[in-house]
Amino acid sequence: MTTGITALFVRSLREEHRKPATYMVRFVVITLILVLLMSARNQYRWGGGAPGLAVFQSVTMLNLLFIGLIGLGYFATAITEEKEDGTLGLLRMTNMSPLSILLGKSTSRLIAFLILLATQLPFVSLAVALGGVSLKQIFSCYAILGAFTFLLGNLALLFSVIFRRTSTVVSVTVGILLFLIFGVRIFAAFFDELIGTDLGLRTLGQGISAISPATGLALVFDLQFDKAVFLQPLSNVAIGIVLFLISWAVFDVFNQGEGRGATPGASRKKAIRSTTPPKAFGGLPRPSPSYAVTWREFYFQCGGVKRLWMSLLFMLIIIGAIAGITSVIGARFTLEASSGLFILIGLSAAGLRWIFELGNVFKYERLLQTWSTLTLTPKSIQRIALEKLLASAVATLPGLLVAGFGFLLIMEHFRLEYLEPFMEAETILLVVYGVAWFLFVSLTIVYLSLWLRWGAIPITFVGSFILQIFMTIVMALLGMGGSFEGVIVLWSFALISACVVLYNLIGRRLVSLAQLE
Amino acid sequence: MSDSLCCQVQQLSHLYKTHLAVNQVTFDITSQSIHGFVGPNGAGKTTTLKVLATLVKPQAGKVTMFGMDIATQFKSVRRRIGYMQDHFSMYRKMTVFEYLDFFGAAYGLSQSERDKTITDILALTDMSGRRDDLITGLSRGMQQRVSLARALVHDPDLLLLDEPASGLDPRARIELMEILQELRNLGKTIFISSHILSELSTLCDYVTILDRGEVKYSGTMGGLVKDQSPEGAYRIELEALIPEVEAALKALPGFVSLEAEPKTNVYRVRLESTHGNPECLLDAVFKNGGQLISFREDLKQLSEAFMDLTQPGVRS
Repeated sequence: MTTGITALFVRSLREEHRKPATYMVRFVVITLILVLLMSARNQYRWGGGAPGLAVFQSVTMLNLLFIGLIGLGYFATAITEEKEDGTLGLLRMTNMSPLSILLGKSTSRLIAFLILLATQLPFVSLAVALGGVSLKQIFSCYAILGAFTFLLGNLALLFSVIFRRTSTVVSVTVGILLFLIFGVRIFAAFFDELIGTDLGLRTLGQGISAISPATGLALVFDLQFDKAVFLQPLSNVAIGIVLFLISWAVFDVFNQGEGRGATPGASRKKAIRSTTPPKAFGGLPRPSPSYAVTWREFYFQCGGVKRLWMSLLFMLIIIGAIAGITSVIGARFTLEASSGLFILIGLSAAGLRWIFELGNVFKYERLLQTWSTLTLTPKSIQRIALEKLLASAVATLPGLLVAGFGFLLIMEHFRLEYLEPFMEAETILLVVYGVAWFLFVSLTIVYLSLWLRWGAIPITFVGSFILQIFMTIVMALLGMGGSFEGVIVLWSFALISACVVLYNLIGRRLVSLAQLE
Repeated sequence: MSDSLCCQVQQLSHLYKTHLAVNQVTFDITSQSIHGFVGPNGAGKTTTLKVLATLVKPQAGKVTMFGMDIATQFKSVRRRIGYMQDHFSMYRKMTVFEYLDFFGAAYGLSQSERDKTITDILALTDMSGRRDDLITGLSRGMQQRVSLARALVHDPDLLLLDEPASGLDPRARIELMEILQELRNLGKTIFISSHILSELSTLCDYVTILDRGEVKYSGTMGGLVKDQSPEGAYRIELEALIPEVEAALKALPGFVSLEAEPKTNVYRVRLESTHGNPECLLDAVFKNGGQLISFREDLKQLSEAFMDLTQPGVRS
């Protein structure tokens, strides 16, 4: 068994070692810590209190963000990457046991991530010199983060065993986490009001809260902290072990059909189901020559009209559920609140859909190797890309519709005077800046999706967050903190320049992808 | 078969970093013919095909297609070529008809044009009964036909096929070759890269052999086997091998060598080229009581010519 584990472990480490992304992530994390240290040093010079603790808190939050976004995607691929590549069956044919595969695939990932945390320690220890934080706090904090990584890694590993697609694993893991963090409390309140009992959910919520890293970190961040934290790290590790054991127990149940050697990634169930076309696609309108790519993208990538209706229905259900809970608990649901709810949910859904579609806009062409065939049509690459983006924009319509309805609800109270602040130079600059950010984030997602199999969206958001901090610090160092307009103009200019660069890089990458296929 | 040229490749070279994939390649493609493109793995076939398909710009040299330079007029060229890659690149969630309809629309065909073309193409590829099947549920051979149909959807004059028969079972391969012959009869020019030499030798009018990025031969298929065969070599098939016939053949003026194949009752005789008169061979057979079944020049097969022209081992 150990030979198998070692072989997989060494293979994973080799792959990690050869990936430029491994070093880039480490570089970004360390750079960011150094930037935070510099910022704290300035704060200390200007008379700020406990700058060491401030640095330490920022770094910890940054780590939580990394674990939650990048780490999650990283662990989610443990088994799914083998399924997607069609190589899990080959591993099974070597008589490698499920335990060997699980240990071999997950240990290397866990170690790589723990190394990332460990490399920060010397730098973070510098925070002690800045004051406000002790070494005991730092080590306790990293123990909590390490244990949480272990828990999250094993949760993703379990779903990686169960599901075939990395995207499904990430979605389900995030969904479960959100439910545990927020859903349990909401449902407890709901059931309590509705049927007079919370079905034990409140206790469950309290238990989750007690063992969550947030609670542990809050204790560690306390200025009076002087005792060791055991509950969070130990409970997280224990749950992680249980999840690993479940992954082991169910491995054969969910992966028996792997290794048939057919089309990589195609399950038998899917192949049988797909011999007849799904009824949902029956009676499609025919593509027009001018928007053929938009037609394909909309109906076969974005899910077509059916998915538009489903999203609309889903949003209305959420709004209805919130309205229901509000009325159950006796709160007053005003017209303004309804309008705000519609606008919030509509815009959030449209934004999320846009981001999701951007992440996929070229991804599947790349994975299916269909891009070169498409570029051989008389349409230019720019035209194909624009048609694809148009389909993504159409997919956001339900969200925009719901938000628009929200605006309509308060239309009769609308006064033209409300628009006056938007006519001010400062607001216009902010709008330009917002549009520049939107374009920058959109183009970054598209560009990264041309290189990465997964993670373009979370990496873009982490990168944008880091860039935001970096730009703030640079502006502060340049002594521009006082001039708001100046800062906004400079940022907007930098972002628009970055957009131009990204646009060209996307074009180049698309040309080279067509050549490489 | 017309002798006009639809494509001229002149001194084409392509470099991948430090690796010279294609080195001063020159050949022509004759209209309404089937042109085989053969070479060992890593010879530069796919790179050349990608250049012809306008996916890769020529780094050096010139490619003219239908009188147009593909480096500058690639958009016009694309309307007249159909390219089928060496891998299946398809939208598997679509039905066969939706897939072809989409590409027809992308090529700018109107709905009525598409309806007619797709019906014709499906009939040609014998896929009419599968038009509403999802691509993902089709067998490899069927997917290959859909891929070929896609390359034909805009009615191109020149078809560029990169290993179209790879991975197909013998029946599917033979059927594919029949479709290609039918396409040639319809006036299409087909440029086909393949490893299956036996099929190419019967299918192709012209052949280009590429090895280590260089053209080793380009011309008619008949010319290749003739060029690569030794002069004065003949193959005599008899009802039965007779020692007197063998002795008479050996006694002929300019005799070089004789190989007898008892299992097939064949003599392979080689005479010096200056004495290469086949009539004396027939005289030697008949005068010694041999009963002749067939007599012809002993030409090499494509596979033998290929082995002679290409170097062993993998290109470093």
